[in-house]
Amino acid sequence: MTLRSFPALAALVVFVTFVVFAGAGAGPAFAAGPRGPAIEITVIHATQLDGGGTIDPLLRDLPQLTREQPFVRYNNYKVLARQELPLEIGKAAASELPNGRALAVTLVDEPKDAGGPRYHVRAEIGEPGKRAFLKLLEVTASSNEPFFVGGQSYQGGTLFLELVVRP
Amino acid sequence: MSLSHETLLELMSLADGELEGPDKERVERLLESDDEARQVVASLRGDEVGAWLAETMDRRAGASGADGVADAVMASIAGPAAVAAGGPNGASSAANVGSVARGANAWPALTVSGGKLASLAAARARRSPRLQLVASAGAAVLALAAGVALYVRAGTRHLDEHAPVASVFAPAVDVEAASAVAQRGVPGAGGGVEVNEIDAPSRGVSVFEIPVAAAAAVAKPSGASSIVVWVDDDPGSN
Repeated sequence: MTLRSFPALAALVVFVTFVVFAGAGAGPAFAAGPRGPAIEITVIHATQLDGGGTIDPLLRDLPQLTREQPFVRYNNYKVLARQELPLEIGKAAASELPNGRALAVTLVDEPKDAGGPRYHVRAEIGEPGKRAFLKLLEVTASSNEPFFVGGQSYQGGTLFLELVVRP
Repeated sequence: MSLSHETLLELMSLADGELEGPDKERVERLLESDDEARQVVASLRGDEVGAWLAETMDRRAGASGADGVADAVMASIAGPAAVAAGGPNGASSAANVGSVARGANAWPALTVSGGKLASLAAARARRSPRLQLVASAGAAVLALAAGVALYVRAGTRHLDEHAPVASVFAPAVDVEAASAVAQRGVPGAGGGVEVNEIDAPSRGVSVFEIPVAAAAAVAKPSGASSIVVWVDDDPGSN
């Protein structure tokens, strides 16, 4: 091995490093989206169909809930959108809804970590120039525990917003 | 000893042959008049010390090839063919100078080692591959370790992503909010979703809670409850 082989060796090391990191990056580590806590928002359109409805395969666990109020009112569920936004203290993560309203979710304070992190989040749903649909909703939830906001009328049905804090 | 420190230094310089001119004459006059000074100089010039010192220095000089460095360099510059340039001690030889390597575009630096002349570039070329190999191997190991750590972490997160979205079911509790502003806390065992505050002016608000007891009946790892906040929309909206 001579001095001439050093650039080749250095290039090999850089390549291996890139492959290793890129391989890890292509996996689940970055598939979840931004680093740190995030709010996953799923917009669900629920309708009542006479001929029997279906449930979007993306809503794997919803069938168990459709026997309960208020889900029992509908038999057809379809996911319209799903996104994950980073949660920062005091900084609203905004998402536009299909009905023209906007949902804003804010992490209120530092997560409490007694027996696992608990996130205190605030949600607001409004529309410019109109009366707010939901002026304020504050909940405290652990990561991966969903909570729902329903009631918005949309195309003969209603919208359910499923909110989950992802660590 | 009555001689001063300065005088001793001067005597040592005289013994070493370093004094010249008026200083030398002055110290020599001192030797003529002072027995002690003569003894000091005699001891410094004594056979034991002087002979040993002279022999040692001559041997080292010869072994180092210092006397032949200039000639070796000039011979190398003159052409690739090595030219012998033996010094007074004959330390350098044609074979030694012949080890000087010549680069394609420039003359390499020379180094003298054990009486031999060698190219610095060649010496570096012999040493550097090992160092490069060790450094490269270290970098590769670090990169692999970082990659493994990332992958392990990724796998952990992957499991979290596939946690059930909402696998609890139970008779829902319908809490009709008479006021547009409702405040209530619904703490759940083992976590659960806790409603801190709801404010929906002039709208009917219902909170459907999925109790913990019912949640335990399904295979949800956290066993936590969940809630649905239902807000009545404006008539005719969308």
